[in-house]
Amino acid sequence: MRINQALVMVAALASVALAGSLAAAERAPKNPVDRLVYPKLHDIKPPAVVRETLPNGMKLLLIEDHDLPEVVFRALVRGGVDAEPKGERGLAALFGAAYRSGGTTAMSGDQVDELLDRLGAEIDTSVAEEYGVVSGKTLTENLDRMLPVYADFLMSPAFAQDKVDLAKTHLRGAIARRNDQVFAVAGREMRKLIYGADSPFARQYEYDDIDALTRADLLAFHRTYYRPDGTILTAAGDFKAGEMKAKLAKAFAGWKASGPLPVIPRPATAPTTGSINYVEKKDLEQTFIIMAHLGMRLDDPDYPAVNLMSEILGGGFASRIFVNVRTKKGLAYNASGWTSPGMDHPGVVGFFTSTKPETTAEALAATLEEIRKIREAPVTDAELKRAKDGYLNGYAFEYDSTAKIVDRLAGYEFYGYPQDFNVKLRDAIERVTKEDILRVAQKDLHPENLAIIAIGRADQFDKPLSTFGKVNTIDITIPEPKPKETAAEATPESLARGRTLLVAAAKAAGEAALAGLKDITSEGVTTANTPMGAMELNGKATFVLPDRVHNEMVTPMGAMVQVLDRDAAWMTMGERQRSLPPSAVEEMRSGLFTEAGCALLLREALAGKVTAQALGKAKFEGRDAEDVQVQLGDKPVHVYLSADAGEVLGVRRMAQTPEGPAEVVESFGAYQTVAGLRVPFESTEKVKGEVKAEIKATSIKLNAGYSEDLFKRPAAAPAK
Amino acid sequence: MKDRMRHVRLLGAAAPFLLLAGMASGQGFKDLERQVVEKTLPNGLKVILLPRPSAPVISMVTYADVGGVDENQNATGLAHIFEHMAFKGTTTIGTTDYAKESEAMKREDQVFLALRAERLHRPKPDEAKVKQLEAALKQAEDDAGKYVVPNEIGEIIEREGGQGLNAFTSFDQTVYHYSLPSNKLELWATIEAERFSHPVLREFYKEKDVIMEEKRMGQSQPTYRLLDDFMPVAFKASMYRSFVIGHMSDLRGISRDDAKAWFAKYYGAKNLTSVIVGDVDPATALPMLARTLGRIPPGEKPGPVITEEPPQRAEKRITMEDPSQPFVFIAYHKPAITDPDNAVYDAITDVLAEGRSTRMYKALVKEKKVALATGAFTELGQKYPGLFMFYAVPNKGRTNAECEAAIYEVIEDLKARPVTADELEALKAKEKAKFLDSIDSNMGMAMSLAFAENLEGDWRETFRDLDKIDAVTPADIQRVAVKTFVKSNRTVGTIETVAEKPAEGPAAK
Repeated sequence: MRINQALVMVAALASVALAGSLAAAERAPKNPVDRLVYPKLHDIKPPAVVRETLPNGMKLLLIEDHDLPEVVFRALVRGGVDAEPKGERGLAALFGAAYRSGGTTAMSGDQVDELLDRLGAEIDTSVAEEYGVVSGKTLTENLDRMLPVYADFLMSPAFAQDKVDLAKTHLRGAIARRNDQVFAVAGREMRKLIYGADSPFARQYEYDDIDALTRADLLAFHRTYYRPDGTILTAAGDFKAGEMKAKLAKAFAGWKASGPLPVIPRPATAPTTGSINYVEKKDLEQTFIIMAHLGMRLDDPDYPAVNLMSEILGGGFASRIFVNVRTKKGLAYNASGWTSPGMDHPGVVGFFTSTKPETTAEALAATLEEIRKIREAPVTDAELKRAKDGYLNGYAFEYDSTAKIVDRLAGYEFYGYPQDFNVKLRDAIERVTKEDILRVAQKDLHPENLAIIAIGRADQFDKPLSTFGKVNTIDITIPEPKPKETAAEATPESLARGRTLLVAAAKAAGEAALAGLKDITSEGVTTANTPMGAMELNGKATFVLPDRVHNEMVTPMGAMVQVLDRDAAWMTMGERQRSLPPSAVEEMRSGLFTEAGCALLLREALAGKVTAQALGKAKFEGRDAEDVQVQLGDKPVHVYLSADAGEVLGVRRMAQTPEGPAEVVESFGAYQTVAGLRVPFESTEKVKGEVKAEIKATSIKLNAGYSEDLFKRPAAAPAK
Repeated sequence: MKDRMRHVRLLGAAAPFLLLAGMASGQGFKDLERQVVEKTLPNGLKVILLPRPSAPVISMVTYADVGGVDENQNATGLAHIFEHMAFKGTTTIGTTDYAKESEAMKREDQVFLALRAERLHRPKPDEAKVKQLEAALKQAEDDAGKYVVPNEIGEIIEREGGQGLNAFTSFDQTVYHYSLPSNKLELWATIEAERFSHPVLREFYKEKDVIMEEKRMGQSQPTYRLLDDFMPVAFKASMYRSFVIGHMSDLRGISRDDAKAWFAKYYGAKNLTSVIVGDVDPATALPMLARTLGRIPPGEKPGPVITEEPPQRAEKRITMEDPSQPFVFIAYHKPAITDPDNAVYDAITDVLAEGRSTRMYKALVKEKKVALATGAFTELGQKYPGLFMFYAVPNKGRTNAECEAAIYEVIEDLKARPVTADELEALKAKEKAKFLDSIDSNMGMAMSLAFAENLEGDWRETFRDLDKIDAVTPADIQRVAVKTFVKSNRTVGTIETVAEKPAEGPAAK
C-alpha cells in the first residue's frame, strides 16, 4: 500500500506529468510486491551489557557473545588531535603510527609482532580527532597470553626511537601521497573550509611539522592523556563477564591516575561562509564536486528532521539528487547528499557528485537546484513515509553485530549521551512531520553558505566556475621540507673561534654598557604584514633583563598589551584579557636573546656562558658574514656577525609561528650608540622568507627605569 | 552497481572439527557446516541457506556465474552494463504503462542503431546526420521516460529497511547483494524472481552515460589507471586482460539488444546461485523460494571460455608515467583456484605478507625501510589461470626499483630457505582468525558460500580450506615458489612520477 504514495512522490518530484502518477496508481496492483504480507519481525534481543568502573577510574563495558571463540577489546582514550599542544601539528598522527610498532617497556615492537602473528591475534592503535583507540582481538584460547600485552600498550608503551623514526618516514610518505586520492583531497579541503585550517577537525601536517616532533613529545602526550580515568574499555566476545572483569581489574591494577583530568579546550566552530573554490588536478577525468556547510550535533532536537530531510534529498536510490542527477540526466555515477552530525560539536551537511569536465556546471547547478527546492515546499507524504520507513525498518540492523552495539555504547559513554540514545532517536524520527522538514530545511540548510569545491581541469568545464560566484583557487601543492642542516661537527677549534667572535662583537657593542644593562625602553613604529594587508602600529616596549617584557601597541582595534613576566605571559586588549599557554611563554622566552641586537646573548658570551661554534664565512641577507651557531637550550640558532665581528647582522632560527614551526630570520640595521651601547634602530623579521614585520625605533633608552605596574596583571574580565 | 574489485579470498577456512578441538567455548560456532541447507530448485537454481537467528536480519546474495572474462570484442563491459540494468525494474516494477513504454523503447533502439551505424560509417560519418540522430535519440529517450518510475526497485528495498543494496561485477562473477529485516525474505525473493525472469532494460542509453562516468571516476585513481594498462600486458589471450568495466568505445556502442542477449545467455536459473544467511527458517523459506525463484526460466549452463592463456615467453614490463607517487606491481601467472596447489599459494601469501612479522613486511617495511606498505594477493581472476600479485608502496625518497629488488630478494629467500615451525604456526593461526572474520557477518558468510559453490564447485570448500592449508608442507611452498616465481613468468608494472603534464584539450573558456 505504501507504494502508491511513493510513486506519486517520485512522479511529482521528477516533474513527470501528473497523469503518469495516476496511471501508476491504477497499475500498481500488478506489482507483485504489493501483494506481500510480511510476518511480524522477530524480537530484537539486545545483549546484556555489564557496566563497571574499576577503582582506578577506568570504565568497562562488557558484552558476552559466545557465537565465535574470540574476544575483541577496544579502549577509547580521551585526547586526540584536539589535545595536540599548539605548534605540534601531526603529533596525534605520529603518536598513533608509532604507538603499536614502538612496543612496550616489557616487549619490543618486533617481539610483539612475532607473538601476535603466532597467536593469530591483533593489537592496533590509532588517534582520531577527539580520542585515541587501542584495539585488540584474540582467539579465546589465547586470551591470557594476549591480554597482558594489550594492557601494557595502554599503560606503558615505549615509543622506541627507531620505530618513531620509521613512523616519521611513513608519515612523510603519506604527506607525499596525500594528493593522489581525489576523495581524500575533497574531504580534507572541505573540512578546512568548514572548521578552519587549524581546527583539530581539519588540521593537516607538513614535513616540517613531522620533522620537529620528538619521542619525548609522544611520551609526554601519553603521560598526560593515557590514564585510567580518561579511558573507556569495551570487551565483547566469548567470556563470562564476571571473569573478564576480574581479569581486567588485575591487568590494570597498577595503572593509576594522578591529579584532575587535563582540560582539552573545545575547538570553536562558526557558521560556514559561502564560497566557490577550485582545485586544479590535471590527472582527473572528472570534476569532483563537494559542497558542504557546518551542520549540527547528534543530540540537536532538530537532528531527526534533518536526518530525514537529508535522506529525501540525497540519501539513496529514490532520493531527489540521485534520481535527477544520475538516473534522469546520466551526469554522474555518484550523486548524493548526507548529514554527518557531530557528537559534541556541529557536524557537516554535504553533497557530492563527480562528472566529466564538460558537464561540471550542469551537474553543479542541478544539485543546487534540488537543494533550493526542498526549502521551498513541503516534501510529499510519500517521501516522508519512504524515508521514515527506511529508517524504522532498518532499525534491526543497529543490533546485528556485537561490535556495532558495543562501539555505539562506548561512543555514548564517551560523549555523555544516555545509553538508550538510539531508542530515543528512533522515537523522535517517528514523530517528524512534513512541516518539521520544511522548517529545518529553511533553518538548517543554507545553499548560499555552502563551501563549494570543484576539483579537476577548469579549462574543460562547460561554463566557468565564476558563473556561480567569485572563485577562490586552492593550491594543494605540498610544501617541501626545509633543507636539513648538516651541522658541522664541533671541534675545539670551531668552538674556540665561536667564542672569540662573540666576545669581539660584545666588546665592539660596548663591554661596560652590557655589564651594567638593566632595562631597555624603546618606542617606534612597527609595520606588520598581516593577512588583511600591511598595518602601521605605534608602540612602546620595555625589556627588563633577563626575562620580563612589556609590549604595548596601538592597533585599529585599540591598545594591545603583551606581557612576559618570567614564567607567565598574558595579553590584554581593551577589556579582554587572556593568559598565554605555556608553549607561547616558552616561545617568547626563547626569543629574548635577540632583543637590542642580541644584547643579552653578548653579555652572556662575555661571561663565558655561551656555547658557540664558528661555522665559517657565510652570506646573510646579501652581506658577508661570520656564521656562529649558538646552542640555546636544545635548539641551535645561527647568529650572523659582520665580517669584522663588529656588529650583529642578524639571527636565523626555527621558531613557532602562527603557521606552525618555521624558519624565522631577524636582521638588524641603523646601529646607533646609546649610553655607550651600540644598538640597532631598525630590524626586519622574515618568516619562511616573507617579511612579516619591520620595526623602526624613534627612541631607545637604557636603564631608564620602569614602573612595576607594567607587570601587574589586571583583574581578568571574563573572556568572551 | 559498483564495479568493485573483489579481494575476497576464499577465506582460508577451517574445518570446524579441527577448530573445535582447541576452542570448545564458542557455542554458536559449532556445527556451522551441518546447519547449511541446500536445494536445487526444479529450474536448476541452487539455493543455499544458513540459519543464524541471533538478530532478526538476513543477508542475501545472488551469484551469476558470469563476469568480464566471458566478454568478447565489441562487447567489453557488457557484464557490468547488465548488472546496472538489473536495477531498472521489470514489466511490472518501474513503469506506469509497460505497453506504451515498450513501444517507446523500440523507437529508442531503432534510432540508436542508426546513430551507431552512422558514427561508425567509413571513411567518415556524416556529422550533420549524427547530430540529427543524437537529437532524435534524446527525443525518443524523453518519450520513453514518461512511463518510467525511476529506481523503483531500489526505492522499495530501501523503504523496507534494506541495507547495503548493491552489486558488483568482476572478472569471474556478477553478484547482487543486500540485507533485510528477516520478516521480508519474500520481498527479496519476489524481486529477484521478477528481475531475473523478465527484466526491462529501461533507461538503457542514460545508464550507459552513468557507467561511462563510473569509468571516468575509476580512471581518476592512479592504481586503477595502472591496472587498466597492466592487465592487457600480463595477459595476451585471456579476457582477464580487459579490465571489467570495458572500453569507452564499446560502452558507447553496446545496444539494448546486446544486453538482452547477454541476459538470455547467462541468466538462466541454471547459472544462478542464491545464498541466504541469517534469521531464516528453511522449513518455511524453501517452499516460498520454490514458488518465487523457481519461476526463473532454467536456460542453459553456458560453457566455460575456450581461450587459454599460453605460457609467457619472457618478462614483460609496463611503466606508467603519471603525476601520482611511485607504485609497483609484480605479477606471476598462477593456475586457477581449482588447482591442487591453490592452498599452497594461499599459504605463500600468508607467510610473505599477512602480518607484521612476515618476510616481506619485515624486509621492505621494517628493515630496508623502502616501503610504506607491501602485500601479496591472488584474487584478480580465480576461475581460470590468474595472477599471483605482489605490490609495494615506496617510502618518500625510495624508488620502485629498490622495492622491486627487495621483493625479489624475499622471493629468492623463500625458494632457498624453508619456512620455519614458527612461520607455519603463525600461518595456521592467521587462517583461523581469517576464517572467523569471514563468518562474523551474515553477508561475509553468504559471500564465502556463494564463491566456494561457484569457483570451487561446492560451498563446503568454505569449511575445508584450513584442512588444505594444514596439509601444506615447507617443501610444497618451496616447490611452488621455484616453479612459479621465475623471471620469464612475470610482469612488472610501475607508476613513475612525472611533473604534471600540461593540460590537454580545448583552451580555457
